[in-house]
Amino acid sequence: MSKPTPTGAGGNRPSAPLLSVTKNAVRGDVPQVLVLAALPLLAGAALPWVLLRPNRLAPGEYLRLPPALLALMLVLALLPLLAARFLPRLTWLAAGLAVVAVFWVVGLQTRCALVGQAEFARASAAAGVWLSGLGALIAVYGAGLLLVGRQKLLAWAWVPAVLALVWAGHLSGWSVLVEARNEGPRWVQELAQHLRLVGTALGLSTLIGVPLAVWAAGRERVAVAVLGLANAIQTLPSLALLGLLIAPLSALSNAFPALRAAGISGIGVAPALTAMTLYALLPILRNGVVALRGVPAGAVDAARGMGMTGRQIFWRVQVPLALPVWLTGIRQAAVLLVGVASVAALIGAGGLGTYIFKGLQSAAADLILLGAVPAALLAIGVDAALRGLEVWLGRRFGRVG
Amino acid sequence: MTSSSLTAARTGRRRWPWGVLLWPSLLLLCLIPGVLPRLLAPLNLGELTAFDPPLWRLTLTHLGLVALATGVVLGLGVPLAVAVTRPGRVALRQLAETLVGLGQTVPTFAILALAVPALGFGWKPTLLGLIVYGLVPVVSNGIAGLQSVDTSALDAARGMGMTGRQRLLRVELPLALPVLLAGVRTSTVYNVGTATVGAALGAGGLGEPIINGLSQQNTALVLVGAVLSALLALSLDAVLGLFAPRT
Repeated sequence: MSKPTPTGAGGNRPSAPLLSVTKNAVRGDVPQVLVLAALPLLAGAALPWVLLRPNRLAPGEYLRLPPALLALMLVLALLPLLAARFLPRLTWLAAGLAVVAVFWVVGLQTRCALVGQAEFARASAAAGVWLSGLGALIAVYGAGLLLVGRQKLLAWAWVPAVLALVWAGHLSGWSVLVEARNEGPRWVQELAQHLRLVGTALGLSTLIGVPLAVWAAGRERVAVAVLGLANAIQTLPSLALLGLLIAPLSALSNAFPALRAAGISGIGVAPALTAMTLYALLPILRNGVVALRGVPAGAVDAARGMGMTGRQIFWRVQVPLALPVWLTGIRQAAVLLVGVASVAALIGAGGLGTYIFKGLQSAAADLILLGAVPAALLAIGVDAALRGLEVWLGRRFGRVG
Repeated sequence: MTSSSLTAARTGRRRWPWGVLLWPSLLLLCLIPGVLPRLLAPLNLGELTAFDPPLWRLTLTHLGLVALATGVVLGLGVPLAVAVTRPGRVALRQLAETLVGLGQTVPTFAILALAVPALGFGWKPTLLGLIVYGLVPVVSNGIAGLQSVDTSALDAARGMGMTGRQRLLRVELPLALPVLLAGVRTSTVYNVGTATVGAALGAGGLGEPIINGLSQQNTALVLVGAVLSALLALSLDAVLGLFAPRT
């Protein structure tokens, strides 16, 4: 269990404590988390749940939960706590029920609110929904701490249930999904465009950054200069950097009309991709240099003593040992790119940011949600996926090294 | 104990922090009306008319937003980090660490935009976004700093008969201070960047020329905002570096 845990420059995440002592300590403390979860759930139940407006821009009226549903939400708020006290094995079920109930009640209430309204009327979720959702998710997190090993999957049992609710059309009255239905294929296109932008920029910057890092790591002064530059650029605002990176491109296209004809200008997909590639290059380059220089000299000496050639040392010793930190850099770059890509809509590159800007311009909250929530989920998903890849590769190469 | 840990941090810094003089003076130089447009004119990137809110006011708005956010972040983040690192709160600490990790992952622009439906346009959603985003490094470094306090130091303090409160104020916080301050520095500098995005929500500040320039395809305007916000970030980083060396 002495696997080196990858620690990147930006993230100091906890390495999962595996000692049985700490596990028991966690289990004993879970009720605190469940109390913390019950507070927003209780408060959320009392707040308005639905905002009903005659159209998507007009002001509207707030609707609270009817007594029966209010009682249901109050019971569900306390259920995880009671479960943890009397039936700890089923805490996950109680917490999962709370999440599913939030979605179910939103669907029910928005549809009820729309009955007898005109076609343009919109029923959106109000403060109570968001607060209850937050509390329910915290409860799920707390319940997950009580589960061990494979059982941890049970903490995600609410996901298929919620997806089933969406699939069955139960939430069709919710304004965000109404908006999504109106946008339909266009939304899918923007999502694909977002993914394309992130994927292309990440691929390009990896292709450029990896050989560059190998080259720089071997040269003392270059490596120091690269790290200094990377640290300085990290303090710069990303939006400013995006602007600064676009400036040379548009200067070029102004100076040489031929380039402009070839599609290189200060606006569109090309400048966004260039700026994003350069932006993602930094963490990849920095972590690559740090990782390669962090390979213990003793390991390299031992390899040389065994008679390995320079190439063998590089592929069999340096790369496997450097990989975890390096992959952390690539993961950080990917997560940063998901965020930068949403700003890139400003220069006409498309992507989910299009909806955020559209929503901001027309003060339509639903459009903002339609762009911002998927972008946030995408970032979390990319982070989790690459983290999984890191663990898998670490295990694989850990054995070889 | 306070003085010893602080002097250790001070002697650890070798070079004279020349950035403390360089970046703020460059920033002030660029804020003199007419200097930046004249510098950018030879690049021939676009037209720069007189700035309606003058640049120094945009800079002050920006600085004010960041300072206000940092104040709130300190007031919320430090007690939070202390609260979740008390013994018997392992689950709460893990929850805080997970939330902090999520805050690092979710794009800033998404956080800012999500605050708009709740708070309307202007500086309010931006401030909320800055606080949420600024809490991340402060809480994570606070937890890391407090967790890394040597147990033998705590045992010695207990042996001397210190109460829990005394241990916290006289042992734990002073020992965790360098790491905590490094978090405050990161949080402040990143928030200079996040606040530029706030211009898209109508918060004003130095993001305004950037956003306007990007949407009007006026690269000179973009450069004005980018240069000024970069200089502001570098200035704050250098000044805060006096108190908080990079860890």
